[in-house]
Amino acid sequence: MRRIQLYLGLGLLLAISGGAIIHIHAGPSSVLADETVSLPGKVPLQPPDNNQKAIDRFSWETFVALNRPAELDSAGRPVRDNAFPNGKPDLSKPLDAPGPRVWEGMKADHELFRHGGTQPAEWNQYDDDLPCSAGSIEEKSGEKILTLISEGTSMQQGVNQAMAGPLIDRFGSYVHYEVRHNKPYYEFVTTNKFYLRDELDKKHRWPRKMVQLPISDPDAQSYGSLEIKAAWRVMDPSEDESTLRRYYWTWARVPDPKTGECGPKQRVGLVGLHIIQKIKGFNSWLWATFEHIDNVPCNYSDPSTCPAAPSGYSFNAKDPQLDDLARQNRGYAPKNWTQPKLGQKWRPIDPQKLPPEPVAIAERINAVRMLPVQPDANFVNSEFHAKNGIKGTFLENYILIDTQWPLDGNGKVIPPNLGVEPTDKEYVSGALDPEPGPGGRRKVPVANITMETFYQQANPALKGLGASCMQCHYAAAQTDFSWTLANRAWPPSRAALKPESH
Amino acid sequence: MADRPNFWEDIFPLFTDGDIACMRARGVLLADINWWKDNDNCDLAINLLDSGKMPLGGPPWDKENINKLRNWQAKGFPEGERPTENEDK
Repeated sequence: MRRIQLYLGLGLLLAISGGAIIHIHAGPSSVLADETVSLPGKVPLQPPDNNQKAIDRFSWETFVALNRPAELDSAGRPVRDNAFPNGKPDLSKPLDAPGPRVWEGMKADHELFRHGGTQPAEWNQYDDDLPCSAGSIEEKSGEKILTLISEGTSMQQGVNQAMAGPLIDRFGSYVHYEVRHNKPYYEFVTTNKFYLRDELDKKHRWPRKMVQLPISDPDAQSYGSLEIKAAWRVMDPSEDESTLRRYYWTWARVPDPKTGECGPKQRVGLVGLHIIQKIKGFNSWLWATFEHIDNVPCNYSDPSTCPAAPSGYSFNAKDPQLDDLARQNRGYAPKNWTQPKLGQKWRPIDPQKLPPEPVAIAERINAVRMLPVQPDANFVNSEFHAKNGIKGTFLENYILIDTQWPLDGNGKVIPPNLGVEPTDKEYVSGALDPEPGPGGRRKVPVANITMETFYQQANPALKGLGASCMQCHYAAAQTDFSWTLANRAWPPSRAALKPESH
Repeated sequence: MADRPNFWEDIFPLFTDGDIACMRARGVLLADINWWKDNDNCDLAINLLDSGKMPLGGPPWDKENINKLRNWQAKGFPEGERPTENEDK
């Protein structure tokens, strides 16, 4: 390590002696400068020990590796290279350098599940298809388009949360979502043609045997499946540079669900990130979830103890009365509510019926964090926030909420019988004893404010879906916990199409 | 040769796993042939589909598929052949 620091020092001197003083960031040195935690250049392959702190550190290391700046091609897009199954970093840049992140080089869901079931491109290729009608846009392939539109069925989940409705921020804008997959996941689906519902169902529709997505093999240096779900809020034009600097932000097109047009480029800030990985010894996956600290106060009991949000919270109005209402309603309340009402706002809505933006103030969501960030995650957040390379950058504003994992990770997953609601016992046994979970040491929910706003506690109207990553995804265990595969194979809904057209 | 339409070949494939999980949590057991065989349950499902209340937030069913469901009900809910877990091995 000392030798590398010397080389970097020499490089800095050479840069200065060349006549111009060049600001050299010591990004790669941070990879090696760790003592207790590391800032790795790539996603770690060695599975973590089976304890919460080690697993939370693993989640943070993965977060760092995936949020490094990506190496870019001549068109400014993340390089897609077969040797980099999770995206290719540019290790010459500091962690907070602008530009696309490593994970944004992975395949977007609309590249894998294309309209009409068209064959996806090779992993290392971009294609020119857009999931929206181009209108006047000039660029095509590689643009970030925040939609999960499946045209032809009018299904659009780009603003609807999983089994829930949209989250509307304090400016009246919808939060948008995207899903990406790494090479092992992508190639498994493309090779088996599981992007086609007929092919998927023929082999794996319940009660047939479940899908087995690739799992990592550290001895063979091979990664397992990795899926990202990101939540973005549109940065309001009134927000200044100091606010932007608190976020990882980028440009994206947000399609109009009514016209299907791709829409203009807008600045969007990352407010939530799920990272799930299928790792040796964790047969029912590792489930990590991160948030931006300005989403909501860190806890509802005493917001004054929370880090300052200089520009305000994205999803909380700092109104004690609204917070009281939210507390009585599993963590959320539209601002027009004068008394707690259970029920309506969590429901997914037809995108054709979305109110236009900016949505009326009375309809915006006021959320509170029902469960404070877990102690181990808090501890590990502090460790990583203190690291050179993270401290003082926008990355310091992201926190791990929790990592859910199976206590019996080497066991055999048993998918639920689709015909009946699984009991807690069946969930614990079938999903390999989730922690936290009904059989685990911590019997607490796991929720990301930006993606499970309405499921911070179990919804009494939807018994059995629970309030955690693994419990909800256990209902998709038939497709190896992947709701994306279950929902997006073409056609997303056979029933929406005329019988002869599929 | 199984009667058509039947549950396993014609009805069950119309529902996604998401539909099934969402509705199962509310006591509507779309993947359970015995639940369907109660005419009241079948009527409830058809009404939900007809009114656009199901699938929640998703694309409405094509009318021909809803009619297929009615036709299946009228024929007495033929089950067809249940796929076996090891069929593809």
